[in-house]
Amino acid sequence: MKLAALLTEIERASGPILGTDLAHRLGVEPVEVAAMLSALKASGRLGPEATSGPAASDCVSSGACSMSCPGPGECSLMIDLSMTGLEVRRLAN
Amino acid sequence: MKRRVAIAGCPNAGKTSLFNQLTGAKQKVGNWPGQTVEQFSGEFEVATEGFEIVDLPGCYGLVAVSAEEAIAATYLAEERPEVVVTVADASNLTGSLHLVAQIAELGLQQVVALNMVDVAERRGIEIDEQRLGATLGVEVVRTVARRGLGTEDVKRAIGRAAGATAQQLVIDYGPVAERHIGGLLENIVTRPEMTAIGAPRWTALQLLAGDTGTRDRIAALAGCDDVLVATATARDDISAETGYEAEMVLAERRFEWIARLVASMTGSVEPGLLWSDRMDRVLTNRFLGIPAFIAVMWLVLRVTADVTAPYLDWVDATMAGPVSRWAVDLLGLVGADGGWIESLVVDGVLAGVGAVLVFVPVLFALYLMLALLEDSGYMSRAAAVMDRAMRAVGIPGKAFLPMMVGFGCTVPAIYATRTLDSSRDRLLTGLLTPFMSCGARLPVYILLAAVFFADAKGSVVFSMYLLGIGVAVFIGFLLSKTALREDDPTPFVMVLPEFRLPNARTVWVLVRQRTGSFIKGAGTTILLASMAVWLLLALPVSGDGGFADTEIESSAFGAVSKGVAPILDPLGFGEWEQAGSLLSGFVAKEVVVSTVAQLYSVDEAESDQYAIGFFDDLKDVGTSFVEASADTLRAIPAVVGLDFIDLDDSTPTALQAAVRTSFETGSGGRGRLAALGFMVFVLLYTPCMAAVAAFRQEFGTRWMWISVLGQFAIAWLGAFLVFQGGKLVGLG
Repeated sequence: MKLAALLTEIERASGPILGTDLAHRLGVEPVEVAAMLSALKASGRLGPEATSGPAASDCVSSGACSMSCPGPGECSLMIDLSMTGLEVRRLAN
Repeated sequence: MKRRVAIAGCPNAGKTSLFNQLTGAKQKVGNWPGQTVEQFSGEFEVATEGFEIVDLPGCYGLVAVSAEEAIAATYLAEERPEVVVTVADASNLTGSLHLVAQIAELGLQQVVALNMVDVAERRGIEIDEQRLGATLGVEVVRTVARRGLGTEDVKRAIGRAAGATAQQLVIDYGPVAERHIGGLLENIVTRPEMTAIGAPRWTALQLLAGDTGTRDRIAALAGCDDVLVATATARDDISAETGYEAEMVLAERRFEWIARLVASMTGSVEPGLLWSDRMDRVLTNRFLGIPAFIAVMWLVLRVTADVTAPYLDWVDATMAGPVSRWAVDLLGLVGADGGWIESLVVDGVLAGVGAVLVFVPVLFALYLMLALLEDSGYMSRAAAVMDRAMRAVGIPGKAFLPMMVGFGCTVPAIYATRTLDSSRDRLLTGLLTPFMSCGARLPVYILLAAVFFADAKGSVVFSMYLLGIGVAVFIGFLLSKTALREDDPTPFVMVLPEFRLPNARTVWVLVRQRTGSFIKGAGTTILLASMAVWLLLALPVSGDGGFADTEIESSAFGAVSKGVAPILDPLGFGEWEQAGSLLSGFVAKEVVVSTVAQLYSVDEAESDQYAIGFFDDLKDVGTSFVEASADTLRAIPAVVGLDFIDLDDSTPTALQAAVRTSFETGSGGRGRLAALGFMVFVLLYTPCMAAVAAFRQEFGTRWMWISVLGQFAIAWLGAFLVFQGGKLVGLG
């Protein structure tokens, strides 16, 4: 049960963990972890979560930024980390 | 009536590109019923037959948890379109096939668009689409949707699939799961109302997989509650018999089935990931990751601070010389020279805004380096590396995301704390983000480093960034052990983008936007602040002078600054001009520099480095730009220690000389120590008013004051330690 082992490792980690670290812990290649993560996403046990980007529009909609603010969703000072987070989800019985 | 088609796919598989290629301009935008999620639909024809196609939200599978996934799953189950075009990323076939397999299990007629085959081929991935299609019972078409390749083939495949009988895929889920699937099937097939919501085996699978959408649809049917009870019993039994949750048992078997299928076609794992993985072995390694991050930061700041020096001098000389002269000449033409208007324009606007615009080349270089790191995928690695270090001292996971954003600007960084789960984590991270050195502080460091540390500008600026991170980690550690104790961490996998060569266009757009934003700020916030400072400088509160004709020390600004200066005296920068510039920094950190320029009131326009006369000035501006460009090119090797040019032999500008004198006087001859303390103070003290307003909005007035006063105290203490500590050990 590779997927169950992967999920256990994710839950065991105290907070965010990288795919490469999971691969190291499970003794497999990172490409295999990526495939397993896809399976967990498809099964609904891992859910994608936007971790950068939305804050830019939040920021603009609040109107607290400086006068040079370029408009919704175009905050040029927002550093884009281009990464996503996958959170473990619990499914109802 | 048009035949109905749906297009589905995982996020980033190229679904929207193919949808656009299929429909062209024939698109409609609306909302999904009862949802705020946008629904795109369009039309196309295949051999004169009309089709209507609906673009489903991106999803990885049909076990729905998010609103987008639920829309896709519900539409496919209830509307049962004649054909589903599923877009699969050929370069990540394993990841894409889960959705394909689930739609095939649903028993819908499917065309698989094997997209991005060009990327897959470049990575050496070969896919036997005939075999794939035969195994799945679908037609597979190779596409490169971005370029429109294969679109006509997809249309023809849709035409063939429409009206044909769908072949339902059956995956063997193992004896335990199959027994329970069979038990549920017996319950389902005898009820017509349940068979209407989807293929019976698929319904049973969705129930066992814990899909809430399927469960809710059955719960809404009269007399079907016993199916839900049977489902709960079956899920418990599977768990008891296998030791794993039912959805994990199903996912595992499907994963194995897909892995075997992919291996049988490609013969190997997808090798394209390996190059990026090899890089990650070093850059995210738990021992090498932090040294690598520090090395990258050092390089960024050396380039930013040192390589741009010739351009900085060029802009400075141009603003102080020709531009100031042209402004005075223009005012003379309209008869406004010699009075308070000239003072406002030259001593207020040009001195203030000009002093900040001088740093445009520096910010351009910083934004260029940041954009290269962002687009290559390194920034997310840096965030991951920082996360490890911070979690080791009790700072919440995910705090690194807003903190990295803080390198650009503190305001969006504070709003980025919304991505954190608990209010404790959000508050703690919000308190720490202002310590990350934002771009606006850079001009202050560059100005003082150029005056006092000309031989090590880049390293001094780099140390400020590093100190900011260090202080954030230290304060985070203290808070997490005292006022803000740690919550249970959220399990969370960080998925990093692959490394890639930065795209020139993307980088240019980012650099242009960010530098433009800085210049716009100079034209708005800095302009208004400079005029306000000029007004306060022009207003006499003591002495004999009149409006715009008073000694600076006798002005309103001078009086306020003198009131604050004693607080800063122990830090080595207790001169009232220094206190005044720090006060004005509350408007925006760049204003510190513009105020310094206004307060020292240096008249570089009188320098004789440019010939007098408009066209001579213009010619000299052009010539000096070429010289600055040549010097910059020669300065690049110096970053790695190859000195082909002595960049430190330039004559200090009048502003730099005035700054040096002021710091030397105020510190009793320990100008370098006082300047270092001043930089530490600027790094750590109360952020600009926009950041404070953002903080108040997010965390309330009480925490805003704690943040404002706390940061001031920390900055004071930091600068005190630098100056008094340095004095104690005989530095400076």
